[in-house]
Amino acid sequence: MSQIKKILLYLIGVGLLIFGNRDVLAKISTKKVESAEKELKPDLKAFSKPKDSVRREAIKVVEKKNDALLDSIHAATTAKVSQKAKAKELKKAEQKKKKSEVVVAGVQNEAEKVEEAPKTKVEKEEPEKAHGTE
Amino acid sequence: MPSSLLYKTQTRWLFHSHIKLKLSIFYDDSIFDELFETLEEVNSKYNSYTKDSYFDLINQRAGRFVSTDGHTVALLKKLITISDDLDGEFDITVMPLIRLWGFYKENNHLIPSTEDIQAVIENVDYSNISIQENGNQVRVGVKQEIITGAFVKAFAVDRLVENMKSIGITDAIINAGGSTIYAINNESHPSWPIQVDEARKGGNPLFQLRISNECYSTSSSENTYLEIEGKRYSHIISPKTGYPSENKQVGIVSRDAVVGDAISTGLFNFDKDSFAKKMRSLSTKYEVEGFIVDKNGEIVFSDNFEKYIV
Repeated sequence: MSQIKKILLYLIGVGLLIFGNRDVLAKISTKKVESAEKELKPDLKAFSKPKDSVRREAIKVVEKKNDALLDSIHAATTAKVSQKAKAKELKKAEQKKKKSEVVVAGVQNEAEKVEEAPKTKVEKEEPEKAHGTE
Repeated sequence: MPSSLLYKTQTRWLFHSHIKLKLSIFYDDSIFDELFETLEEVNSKYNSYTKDSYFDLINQRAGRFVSTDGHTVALLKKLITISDDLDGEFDITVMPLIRLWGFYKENNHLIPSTEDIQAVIENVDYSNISIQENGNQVRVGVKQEIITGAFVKAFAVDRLVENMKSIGITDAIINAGGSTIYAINNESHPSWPIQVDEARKGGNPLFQLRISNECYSTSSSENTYLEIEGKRYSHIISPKTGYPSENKQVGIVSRDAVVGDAISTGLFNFDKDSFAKKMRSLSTKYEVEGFIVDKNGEIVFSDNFEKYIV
């Protein structure tokens, strides 16, 4: 590989790093390492393969566990959230009901007060009716 | 000449009646609470229909002495004297007869048999009321029962008049259910007018009275009666015969509301001739005047009643 190509690849790598495309950079750098390994130590592949697969399997297991854990956490959280939401709704409904009851009671009390409260009238001297009916 | 003065009025429900107080416009509304409180106190302490009032306790414990207060004893003594003066036609122990006639039943009203009336009348006798003034102890006989309907409202009115005068009210009128009306007057407003109509709903006007520092009491059978086999029977029952009176109306002007109410109730059981005679003796002793409308609609005035008519 010519020096110019290497410099170009380096610059591209740096550019990609700057713009955050780490996946591309990783591919490029992996290719670069792989090709370098092929060139320098072709036997290393034999040792690294089983290690990688074991690691991948382990990762897969961990990922599965994580996923399961996440799922359970998610489910629990969802349940909690929905429970909280339900409780909140119930509380709101109760408060609303109480409020309406208070309003109704208040209205009733006012009505009772109106009925109970004796009214004062102003009159002139008028003959009082005697009837003996009460 | 009607007065041009302005008054404040309040009406409240007490003693199964509308009680209206009317006094000078210059008083604050809060005075009504204080005045009605006097009436409420009487209602709670002395009304036989109020549970655990003195008269309720006397009835509950018939046959045994019950501790009361000085007012109960003074009131009973006054009522017993009036009963004597009315030859027993006024009797506060008449309750068993009223029950017998079915005034506390909703239906199945029947004219009681003569035997039943005679059996019950034995328990109607105010002279069986025993009073021990030392300790204000009162006892009625076994199976006896006092009914306060004929006097407790008037007693409350008398107490109220006393209270009003003590706080300086000199111009007011108390209308207790249309049957006990007390006028308080001063020099600038010397009398209050009272309209007396025939004792039936929508009855024609009879006359207008003017009373001054006096009470007008009236008894009639208009609103409290029983209808048995198409005939109306008054709630005022003669304690001597056991039968309801057939008169239509009695009106009495007196200085004391209890005296006026008791006399108008008692005289309701008199016929027109005995009414005129009895009024002569009563007017000397109690300063009362009055009239009766008998069962035929005939009106008889006491000797000096017409001075009140305007």
